[in-house]
Amino acid sequence: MQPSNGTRTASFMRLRQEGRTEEVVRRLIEVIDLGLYAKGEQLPSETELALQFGVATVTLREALAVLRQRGLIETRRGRNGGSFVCAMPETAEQVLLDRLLELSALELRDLGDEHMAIAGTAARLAAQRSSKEHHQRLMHYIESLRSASSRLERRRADARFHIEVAVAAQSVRLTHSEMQLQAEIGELIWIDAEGFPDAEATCTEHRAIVDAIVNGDANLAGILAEAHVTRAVKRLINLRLQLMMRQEDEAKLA
Amino acid sequence: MPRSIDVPVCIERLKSALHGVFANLQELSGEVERIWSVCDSLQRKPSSRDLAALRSLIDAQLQSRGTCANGSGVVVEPGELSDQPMYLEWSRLADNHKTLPLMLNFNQRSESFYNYLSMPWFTRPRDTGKAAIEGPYVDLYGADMYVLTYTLPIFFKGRFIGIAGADLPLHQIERVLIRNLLRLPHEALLVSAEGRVIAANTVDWATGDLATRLMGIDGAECYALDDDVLGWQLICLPQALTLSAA
Repeated sequence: MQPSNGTRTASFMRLRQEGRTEEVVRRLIEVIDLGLYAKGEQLPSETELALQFGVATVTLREALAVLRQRGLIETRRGRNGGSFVCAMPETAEQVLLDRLLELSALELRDLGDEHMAIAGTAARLAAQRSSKEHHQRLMHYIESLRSASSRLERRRADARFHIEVAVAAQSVRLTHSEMQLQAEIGELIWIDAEGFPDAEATCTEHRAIVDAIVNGDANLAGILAEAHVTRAVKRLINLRLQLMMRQEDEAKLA
Repeated sequence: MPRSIDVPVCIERLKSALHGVFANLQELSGEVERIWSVCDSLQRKPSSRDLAALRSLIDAQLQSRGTCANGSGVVVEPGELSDQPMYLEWSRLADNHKTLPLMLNFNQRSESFYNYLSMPWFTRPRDTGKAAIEGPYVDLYGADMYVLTYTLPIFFKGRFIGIAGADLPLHQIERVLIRNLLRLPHEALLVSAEGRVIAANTVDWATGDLATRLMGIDGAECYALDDDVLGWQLICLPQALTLSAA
């Protein structure tokens, strides 16, 4: 049965419910989570952050309060006071699996579609616009992934690689979108499940993308980047199916 | 339609668009040399507290009318200050026309330690002894902006002591540059030393594109803007500038 026109468009017409504070919280978590501000580092002052986000100082204070409550930052008083980034605990594997189960297959596929659009275009443009310095940075983040010693480090090096491709593409918007996507699915990609690639295998794929970028082969770079992010999402959809099947089996046994 | 100008006039005007920034950096650099010289006569090394005296000048420059910079300051060569191994005195311009000092993490044990010693805007003027313009590039830390970083080396008694620099958001300075390019009778683009388009008067080239392949083609003429300073070039294409609706 076809839904009436009204219900069909409703979800696209709905405005994003997120308020200013939530948006600032989300962006701050993004930069801390991706390691742009690392453990122990002092965040810029309240005034500076309020300026960067273009929000009132009150809004920013609310956002910092949320981060403090979640244990992401601590605030020290006094002359050398300010907000400092706390050590990010590595998310427990089970939490990630639960998060994956909460997503629908459609949401995952849609995230994959968006990531394919962003990562593919970024790689294409990077092949046309990047310079030697960008190539060196990309190689640097492949090396950091290879030598990473924890899931958190692997995930950050991987995310940073993709963000740097967008930086090499000279696009502020693609960079922004890539950061947001990495904050959303980056952690899930590094779940340690059967059939998931290890750091070395991912480095090989990253290397192939960089080679195409260095050679100025925009089409190849784009195709490789698209395939790379599509495979990652497919693995997540597959893992979700396995988890659901396991749940079914357990329910039957009970 | 406004009267068109020829290439030498255009180059002069493009250079003058940057001259204000250059003059500010020279003034800043002169002030730093003066501080070093005063400390030298007192037979002591300058400290980060001495650098704080620069703040009013930096702020005044950022707040002056017609400036293209949204951040400016001085970054010091390690070993020059008595109290800090690495240090900068840098301010950023806020929406409400106020300025804010930039704080960075110089704790070398921290994994996010801000190591400017590997950044081209610091190393290039240090190694060449000349001004340099880095970019345009996407600044991950700079509130989602596409920027140019203009830096000048500072010397005291022939010794490199640091740089004076300014961040120029491209969306601001681009207006000034394009207005001049539009007065040329033909299609033209302004490219950086690495061959990246900074501004163009034609839709065929966009800011951020690499135009290196253009430099060798027939009919395209390249003019160095200021060979010993920037490495920027004005490339004039054979096509007449029409800009009629596509």
